[in-house]
Amino acid sequence: MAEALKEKELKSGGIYTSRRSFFTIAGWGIFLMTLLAYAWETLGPKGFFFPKVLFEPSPVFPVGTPSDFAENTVTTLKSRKVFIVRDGNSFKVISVVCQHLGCAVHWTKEKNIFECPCHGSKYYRNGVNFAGPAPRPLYHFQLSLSDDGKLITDTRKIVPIETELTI
Amino acid sequence: MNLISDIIKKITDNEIWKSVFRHGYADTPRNRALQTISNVWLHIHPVKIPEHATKIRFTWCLGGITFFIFFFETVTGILLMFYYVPDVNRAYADMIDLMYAVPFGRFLRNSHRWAGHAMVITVCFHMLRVFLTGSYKAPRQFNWLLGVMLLVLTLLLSFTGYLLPWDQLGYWAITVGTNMGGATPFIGYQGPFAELLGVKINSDIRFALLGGTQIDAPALLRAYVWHCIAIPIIAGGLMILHFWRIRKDGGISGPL
Repeated sequence: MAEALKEKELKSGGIYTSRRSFFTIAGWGIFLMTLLAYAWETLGPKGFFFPKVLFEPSPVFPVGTPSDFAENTVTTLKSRKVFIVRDGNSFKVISVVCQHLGCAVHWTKEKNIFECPCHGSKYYRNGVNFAGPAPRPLYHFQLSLSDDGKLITDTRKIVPIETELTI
Repeated sequence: MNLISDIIKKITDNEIWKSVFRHGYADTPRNRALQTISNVWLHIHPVKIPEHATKIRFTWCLGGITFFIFFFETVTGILLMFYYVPDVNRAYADMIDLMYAVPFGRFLRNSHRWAGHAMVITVCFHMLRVFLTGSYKAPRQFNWLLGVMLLVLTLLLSFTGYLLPWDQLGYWAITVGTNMGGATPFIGYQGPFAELLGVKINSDIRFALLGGTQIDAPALLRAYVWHCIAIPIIAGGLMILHFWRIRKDGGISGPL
């Protein structure tokens, strides 16, 4: 019966699939598609391992008013991982994160440089690397003055190292 | 020694004993083989052992030692889980409690830590031995591949365990390690070709490992789950395959 049907279908140029192989293919297909969907949901770029809501500090935050910082000083804002560098009336916000492997560099006042405790990278006061394995200068973040006179930094926006906010 | 055999005879050579146990154990080669085949604990052991397998100085039992350490880590790790909570406000204090307040806690934690270091070392020596004796050659190529996967999993176990004390050492080690992940080509936001896939700081491999853009509570929890549940299960599955393939690939390797 099935053989005759197969013969007839193939002769007229059609396709023939037995019920058994149809269900085999359909079963495996559904199984693999489900598996793939689960894999995509967990491991995919918008999946389970990539949370949409983060309980982290906002990347935009006020660092203080200009008068909070004395002239020609480097202030460390440890909780926010930034330095506020004031030279005259110019302000800069420099990241504490070392460009080598992400340790926190610290300001060494006596030598007038930033130093990384992990692998010995050193940076000048303007954030430019000059020793150790660091491949590039420290990040400088965008700084602006809000209407109520606060210095606001946005750590999502990285600006060229020459950028300063002069008040 | 007649005394002991006399006592055994007295216990076993009577009607009550025989009515319960029916017959004794005849120590024949066939019975020895059956013991191994039919026993769930012994069935992983080969029934026949080639003479070269008894010469310890070919394999140095490095794979066996590694497996023993893995087992030891499982037991001590489960015990540590009774006191340790992977919460950023508690983790460090729990670790200190284990060191100073919990009975035998310091011994347990130090055992776990040192055995972890030892496992990395024995895995490396095992690999070196297999390489030097050419035991990776046909038909054992696939078992070498499984071994490489197990090496990676061992290193990942070591890495994820590092963060759990939530101390300065672990924190910065994980900072450095995950930043290396962030520099992976294509899937790391600081790596080459990241722009091609549009991978950013909140969509790259580092983000998936940390559960955020910085090392915080989600990173600690993720390290904990990977360390205590996920990686041991994956490694256990691969170990079953690894040991089974030793037998199927012609038994334990020996001198040609």
